[in-house]
Amino acid sequence: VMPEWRHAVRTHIRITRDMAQRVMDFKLPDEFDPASVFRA
Amino acid sequence: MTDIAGSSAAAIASAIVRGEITATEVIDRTLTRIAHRDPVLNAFTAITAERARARAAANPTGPLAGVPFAVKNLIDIAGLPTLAGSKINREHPPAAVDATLVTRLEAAGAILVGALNMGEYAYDFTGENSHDGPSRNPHDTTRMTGGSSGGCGGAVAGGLVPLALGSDTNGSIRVPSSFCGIFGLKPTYGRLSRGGSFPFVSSLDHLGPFARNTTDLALAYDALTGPDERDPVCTDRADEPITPLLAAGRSGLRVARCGGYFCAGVGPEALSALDAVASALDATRDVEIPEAARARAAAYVITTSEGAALHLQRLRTRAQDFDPDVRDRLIAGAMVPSAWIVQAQKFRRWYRDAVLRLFDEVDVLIAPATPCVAPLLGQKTFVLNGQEMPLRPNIGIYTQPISFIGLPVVAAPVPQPEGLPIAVQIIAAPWREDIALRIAYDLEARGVVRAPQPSE
Repeated sequence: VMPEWRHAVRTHIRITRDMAQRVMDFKLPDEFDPASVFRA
Repeated sequence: MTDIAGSSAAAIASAIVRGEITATEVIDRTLTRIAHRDPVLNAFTAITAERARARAAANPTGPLAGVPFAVKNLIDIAGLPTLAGSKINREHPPAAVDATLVTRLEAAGAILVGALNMGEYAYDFTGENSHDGPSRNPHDTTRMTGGSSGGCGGAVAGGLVPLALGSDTNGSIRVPSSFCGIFGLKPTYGRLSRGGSFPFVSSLDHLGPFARNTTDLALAYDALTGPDERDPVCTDRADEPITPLLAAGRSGLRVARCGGYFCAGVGPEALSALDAVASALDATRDVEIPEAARARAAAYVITTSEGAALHLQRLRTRAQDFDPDVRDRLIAGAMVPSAWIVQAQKFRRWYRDAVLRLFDEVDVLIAPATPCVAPLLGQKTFVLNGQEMPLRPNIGIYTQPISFIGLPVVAAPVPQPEGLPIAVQIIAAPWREDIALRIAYDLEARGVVRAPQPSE
């Protein structure tokens, strides 16, 4: 990562972390399966 | 027929069948129109004139006989490299064969005239591209088309072609439809083959058509459906043609408006459009899609990590050749821990089950497509919920929670008395594209939704 890109990359990491925190805060049972192969 | 630019696909096909015009005349006029107007709109990245003239000379038949169309440049066209909006893919060998959906439209009589501009690798809601220049909005060329299918929005709204094919991972059909004031269909996840298209986020990628009216959208959709071994996600359901059902109207359909998350932060134009559609459909009931904000967050996490995984090798060796706005987000996505992705996919299953329960009580949900009308080219921020926010990642706040679980959506444009158009999302249960299109057709017949013709 070039030094001049780092500020923008850090900003996007922060945004992604905040988004992920919202998802991680949602409580689901351990046995709940992910939709890794998704079908509508 | 004198006005090709304003003609629908259905009208062109009908005029050809009646012998009022030939396919060759249609293609010649279309190519002239593109040569005249595209230098302003910058919708096309390649024109397939020779191929189009040869095909027109063969007098194609079918429901789309002689209808010109173009495709987002992540969709394979035999003989051209599939750019996906990037600089790097220009070095790829030309596609050996057409994408499945190109073949299907041509089997229905349509004629391919070129490839369309897009945001790099489809990670974009603006329609801006640092390599090819921005797609420009036909209603105001200082404004964005929306993206990532920006060329599709500009070409269809600008009267260069009546039909286009684009892709939608998080809103890339619905956002340009809204900003450019045209109709777009994001089908059910798995409904239309993605065979022969450059991916972005496989578990969220959809392809679908754009048009200037509902009938054309349905004609294109009917030509595009069917199983395909080239796309393992593509359904093997039997074809369910929609065009014959359009006029069935909205009788018996229960319509509700999405409240809560979908009304927070919405701008005045989007709210006015939603109110107009809700009123026309007698949708007095508001429903809240549970955990929509969290769904949008989960879609964001999956998108950035899956997209980064796809491009990891290119990021390691060719990072300087990416559009900086795309590169920086993908580098951040490459650092997402697997625990976040697994939790997002678990949540996705929970969310799908919760939203599908809503369809026990309603048949159609309506929601804004974008929070605002088309921003100015180069604009980096906008005000959402009273806060100044980065524009690029936030234009799709209302589209992401819907495509996250693959629901079919028609984006239908609502002309504003003075100003730029904006669309609403007409959302149905999985595999019920017919219901979303019937509602759009009913609204169009009553003049509530319409693709306004831009002045030039």
